[in-house]
Amino acid sequence: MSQDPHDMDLAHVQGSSTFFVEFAHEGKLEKTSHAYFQVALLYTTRGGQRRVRVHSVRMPVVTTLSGVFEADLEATLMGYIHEAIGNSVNKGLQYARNAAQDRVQKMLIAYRRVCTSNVTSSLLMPSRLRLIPLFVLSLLKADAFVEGTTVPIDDRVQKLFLLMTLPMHQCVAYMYPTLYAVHHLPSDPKSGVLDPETGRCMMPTWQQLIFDSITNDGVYVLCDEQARIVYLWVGSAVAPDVALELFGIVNALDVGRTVFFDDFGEKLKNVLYACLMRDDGMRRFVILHEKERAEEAFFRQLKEENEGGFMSYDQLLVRLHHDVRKSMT
Amino acid sequence: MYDPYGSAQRPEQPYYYPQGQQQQQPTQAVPSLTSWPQYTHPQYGAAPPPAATATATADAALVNNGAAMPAQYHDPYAFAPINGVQDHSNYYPVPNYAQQPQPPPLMPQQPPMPPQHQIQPQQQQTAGAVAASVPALPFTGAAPALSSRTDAGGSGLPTARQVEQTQQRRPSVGSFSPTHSFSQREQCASPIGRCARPPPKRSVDLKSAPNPRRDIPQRLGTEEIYTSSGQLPLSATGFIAVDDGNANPKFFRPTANSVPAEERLVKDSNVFFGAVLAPLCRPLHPREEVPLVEGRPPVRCHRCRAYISCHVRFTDMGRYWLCPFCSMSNEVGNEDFCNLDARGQRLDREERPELSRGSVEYDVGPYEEYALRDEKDAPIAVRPLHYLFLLDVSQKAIAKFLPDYVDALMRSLHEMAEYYPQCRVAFITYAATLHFYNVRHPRIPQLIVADVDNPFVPLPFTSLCWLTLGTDLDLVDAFLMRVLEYAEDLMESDCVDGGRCPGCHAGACGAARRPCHSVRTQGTTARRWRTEVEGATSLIRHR
Repeated sequence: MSQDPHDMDLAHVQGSSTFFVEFAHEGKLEKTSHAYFQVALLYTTRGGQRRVRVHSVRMPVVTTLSGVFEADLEATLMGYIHEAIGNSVNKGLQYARNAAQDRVQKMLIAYRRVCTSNVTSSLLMPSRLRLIPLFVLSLLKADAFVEGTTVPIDDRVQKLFLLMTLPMHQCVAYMYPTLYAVHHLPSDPKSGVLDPETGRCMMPTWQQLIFDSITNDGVYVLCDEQARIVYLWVGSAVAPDVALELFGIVNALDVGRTVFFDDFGEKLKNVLYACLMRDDGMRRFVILHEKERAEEAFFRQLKEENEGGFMSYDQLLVRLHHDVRKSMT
Repeated sequence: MYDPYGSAQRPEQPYYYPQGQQQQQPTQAVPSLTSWPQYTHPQYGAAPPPAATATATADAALVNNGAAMPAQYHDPYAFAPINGVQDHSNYYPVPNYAQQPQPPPLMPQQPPMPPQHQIQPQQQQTAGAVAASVPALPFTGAAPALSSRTDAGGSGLPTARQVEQTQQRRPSVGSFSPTHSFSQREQCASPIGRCARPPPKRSVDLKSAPNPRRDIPQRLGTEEIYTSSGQLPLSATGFIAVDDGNANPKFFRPTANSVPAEERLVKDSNVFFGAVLAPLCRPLHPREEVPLVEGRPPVRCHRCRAYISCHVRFTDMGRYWLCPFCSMSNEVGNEDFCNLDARGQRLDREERPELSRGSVEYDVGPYEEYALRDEKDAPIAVRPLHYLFLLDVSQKAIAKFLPDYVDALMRSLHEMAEYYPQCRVAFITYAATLHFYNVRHPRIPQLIVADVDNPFVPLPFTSLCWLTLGTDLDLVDAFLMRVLEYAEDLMESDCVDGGRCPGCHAGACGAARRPCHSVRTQGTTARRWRTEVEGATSLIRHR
């Protein structure tokens, strides 16, 4: 809520409150000078003290188009999110989806023109923004922006409000769920143990959200930050020694039936604690077995596939490549 | 203990993007063909000559087809995983590979001026095949060689890629015999199991396309940066930013490292020009805490009212300071004056956080300019935060969330009483009617307001209903323990919540400064109070 362009009136602001602001030029900046930004927050603490918090930033000025593409991934992704929220509320959901795709396409076309010296048929992307197409694809698959009526309207509105103030460090995990292959924990000496220096669990490597990553002899943990659910997916052909180490039982089919969280191995519990206990609340824990009906929700989180009917990642890349090449002719 | 993100993910090194190399397809293919005879290996010398000739012809056809018709890009993909299988056997004689001579590149590789990453379908397949074969390695002895090979592929050295291509092409003699299921098996990450769901046929090898597993670093270590360097590490993997002259990226994260000089650059590039603000961001490492300035008012520019910062320049031996926003020369007050050193910096710079840090906080309680004001613009005396809780006690609430919510609320208020004993709370319940309580009476009588269209407060709310956590916590407990009792007595099914807050009409909210509509939430929201810093009637101004 704001009464004039320079002030934002906030009834309350929290540690997790996040705002995105866009800047516009009123004139031209000199190359030799710097640009300065200052944010001042006048507020009352919970104890009743009046405070002013001032953040000051100085940034260099760039005059070339190639310098503009030295952008930050997370802040740019926040820009896409906030633009999509504004468009979906003011101009309709379909407009918001098309605008987000168009913006990615136009950015890549503009970038391609900057690289006219390199004659190649490949799809070129700015180095720091190369994950933007994938994250925008995930954004279009989020409950807040997905097409159709599969998402109840109350859910969609709640997700929109949540996205409006999403903290920055949750942005990537919200768009692209983290997937861990925990069946490697018994053989990996560095994963699943607590770091003696920080007390945190050293997590396994992230897996890619494609069907190739899920095998029937594996056990996977997937953190869906949109629904705030942690899935434990158990394959149908888990090796007995792996199952014994992870769950304390030879037959992995008993997980969730006669074997529960407290029976799990120490390493697996460490990983699950790290996924379930977050600074903004606990997550729900769901155990799934291969070929169960409920595993549809698990596979729908594989953002690079076209599960659910929308584009897959390779289809998006081919389409962007085609559009960029067409614009050069 | 420092645990910023609940141990969810490991802190990582800064977000580093290796630059992808651009190469012409024909240029890559021709040297490979030319160098084919040089890579005749003794093990494969026994192969029949006709088979070798046929293989060479097939490779030439593939290259020509790839150059002429882009649609042919699909054909090499079908063989890539099969080649991966063959590569597996080839990786065994690693020492022999190291002794093979490497052809010099035919064309010098010029790095592109702007940093960029290119997606080349064929190259992606090659890299994918190499990556796919790494987990299949049964022994650990050759792992370093494999890692170095993968790294070489990642760095995009043309020589390494030519060698890789040659290696790929040689074992294709045996690639025509595997079955389709074998091909599907190799597409999985596991050498033993098969995919729970079969991967579709793809136009692009997604394993070499940009994805977080490949492009977001996940290595150990708590990354530490200095804010004046302008680095923007990933928030998702965590970092510690030591404030040495710019605000922490956790508070102010711009969309770019540099500011475009004019509007045309923003329009033409279609890149956002903005920033993400989180002025009270939590959690923070102890080294990231914002210093508090007490005992002196903030120094501000007379013209644009910007606050003095570490970016101002002092002139005239320290008697004036130049505002970086409007270039106004402001006089330094006598109480703020200090001499400058040889580089024009104030000698007391380190003792004044506002002159050496990007983020600073002032205690402005004693200064009326910063006071809260009422409708008549008169200053309001400073007081602790007041929380008014509106509890839904309809039947649906009793069945769904009310018991858990009351329990979480009791715990949270006990915790809050330890840190902020001066905070005050009050309670109103509602269903189809509004219910007020005299919580200071031993039996806590309930007063019902049935006319919700013309609501009123049936008791002196200010003196009877507000409870101070530090001194009245027992009264809070007594009321909360009886909420369910009241709710079950009422057993109302309707609810007046829809779209408007009944308390606002009753006027009780005038004394509270926390939004009233957040009470209908789960217990996790209540628990969030323990770590959050909250402000009321906040005002954000940015220039």
